[in-house]
Amino acid sequence: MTTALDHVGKAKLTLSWRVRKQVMFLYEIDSDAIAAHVPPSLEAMEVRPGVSLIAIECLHYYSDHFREGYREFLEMVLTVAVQPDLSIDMPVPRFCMHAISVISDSPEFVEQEGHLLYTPTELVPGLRMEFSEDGGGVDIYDGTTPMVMCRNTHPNPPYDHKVLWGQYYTNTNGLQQGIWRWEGQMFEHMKAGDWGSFHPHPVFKGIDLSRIRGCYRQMMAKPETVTDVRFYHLGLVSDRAGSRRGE
Amino acid sequence: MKPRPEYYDYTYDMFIASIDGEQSEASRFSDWIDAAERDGVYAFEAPRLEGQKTMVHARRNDGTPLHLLNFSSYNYLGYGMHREVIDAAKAALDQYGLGACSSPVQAGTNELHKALEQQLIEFVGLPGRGVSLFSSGYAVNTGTISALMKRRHHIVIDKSAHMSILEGAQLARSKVHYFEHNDADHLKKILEEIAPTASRILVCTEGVFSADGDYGALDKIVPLAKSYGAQVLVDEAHSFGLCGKQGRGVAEELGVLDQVDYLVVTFSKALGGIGGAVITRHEIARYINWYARCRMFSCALDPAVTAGVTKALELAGGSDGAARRTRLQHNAAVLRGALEGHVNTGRSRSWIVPVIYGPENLSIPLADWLQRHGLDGSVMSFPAVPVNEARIRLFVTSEHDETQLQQCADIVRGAAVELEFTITKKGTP
Repeated sequence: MTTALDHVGKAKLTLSWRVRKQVMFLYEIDSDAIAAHVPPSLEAMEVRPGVSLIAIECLHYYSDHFREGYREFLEMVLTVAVQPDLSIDMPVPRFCMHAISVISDSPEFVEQEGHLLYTPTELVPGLRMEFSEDGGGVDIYDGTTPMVMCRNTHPNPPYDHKVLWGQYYTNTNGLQQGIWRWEGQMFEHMKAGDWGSFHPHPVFKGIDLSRIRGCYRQMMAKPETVTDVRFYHLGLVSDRAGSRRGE
Repeated sequence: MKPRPEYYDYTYDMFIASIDGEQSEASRFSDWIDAAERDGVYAFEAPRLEGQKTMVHARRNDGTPLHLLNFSSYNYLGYGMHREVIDAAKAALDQYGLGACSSPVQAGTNELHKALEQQLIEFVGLPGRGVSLFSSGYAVNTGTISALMKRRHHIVIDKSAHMSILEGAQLARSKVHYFEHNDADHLKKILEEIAPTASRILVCTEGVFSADGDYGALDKIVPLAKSYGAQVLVDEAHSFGLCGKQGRGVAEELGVLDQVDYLVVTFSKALGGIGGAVITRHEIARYINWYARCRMFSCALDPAVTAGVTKALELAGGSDGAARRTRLQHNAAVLRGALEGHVNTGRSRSWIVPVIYGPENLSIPLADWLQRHGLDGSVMSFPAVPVNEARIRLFVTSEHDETQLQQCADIVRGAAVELEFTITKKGTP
């Protein structure tokens, strides 16, 4: 396998982003409460029997994406952790996530992500994120309506430079798959404590929020540094499976 | 500075599954180990050349001979190498042969098994209870839980409980709930929610938790569970024979032994053998004998081990055991004392002394460093412990001497300086 920033194996770079602030919280949820959101050819990762993971990822992007002078913007991603495909020619993925819903306050972002990665992305003009000073937590609102409060439970995150690899799946145009690469200063932990709360919002449609059993793991990028995020879209899962079979 | 290899950042969970049809998880996992072996840093699975003494000869995978301080075996009281225990096993081997060669409910049960059952009842001081023997400690939990609990029942498990309890619950297909580690308030909330409609509830916890070395809060959890009509299973794998006035375990020490419905013990720790048992009401033990599938459809405990652990139990119940327990407690305190203030030993209060070094990417180089400096200590990473709380797990035994305890502490402290996880380093978990 050859890996450079513009390709991974045979997969070419599809999108790249510079991120200013970012957190990802993974939450335990009863597996049967999330099963309907997992396509039949995928399988949810269970951290304990009967317990799967959903994730809330919040990103605050730097300016100048799309065109020079373009404003900073926000994205919130709701995913479920699924089993990876380790036959893909790439470094071993840390996580594999299937996108349930994505929201952003940027029309350009919504158009581009939907077009290139087939993510289920919707425009929420009132999307608002209040990151904590240490960058480890964030309160997410739609206008003044609270959506998710992500509270960092670690008193002193010691950030370290990391490169992470992962996979993503989307299902708006057949089951699509791809690779992501993340590089930046980050920290992750599983300290118990007051991890925040979920609040009813259309983005959580079809998920019984009362079945969320707690925060499993918290990941945070060092705020105000440059985090580099790249996507390498592979295409339809069925096409890859077919090519493996020689079809 | 030389960049660390990519595979240092890999963790066990990354190879648990793959959705493709080619078993890529196996080939990628194998690649991981191959890479570490190629770089000469793979320190795991080094074969030992003798039994679990406090110093052991072993061989590194590249053939290099090793002579190691042994802090990675749970031969806590040294009975695995005790002359009388070995002689008892040898005698049984001569009389009964190598294996039991049959299911325990068919021809596999022999007189040695009956003697061990009786000895266990006497040791725990619970006359009238019954015993179900298993050929592994792991199987006690998977077999017992799946025999007794069914789909419409509820199992409530401490989040830090052993994988065998989780798998038992999975086999039972019951509704499973998890309470925060040792958190009686959280357990109470769960019981309040399920007790009004549940026909059967089993609460599962442990005497000593094997990753942290802390005690289960049995004095709170057991009475609470009973007050909601739940039954309680306590796995005393790492505490049976080791604490309490009579060596019966944490349940005895905390005064709740007679309230425990299923007392799970293992023979591979304090008794130095293999196998385990559940001690419970007589009729339930009989039921488990027949309905625990991994017992019914598996060979009975082998004769030599059965005789050996019976002898070890006899010794553990007398003055020899009492003296060894006293030494064990003393040695654990000595090691903790030599480490505290230098490295993070977490919440241990037992003979399992963790040294929490933090990031998983230290695990491979640290295991290599320790082995090259003469210490065999288990390295544990996520997902066995929380992310960024990777640790060396040191098993103290009654047989370590003061010099060995100090040498162990010196090597660990040296590693902490070399790999930068001393307690003063900013951000150390």
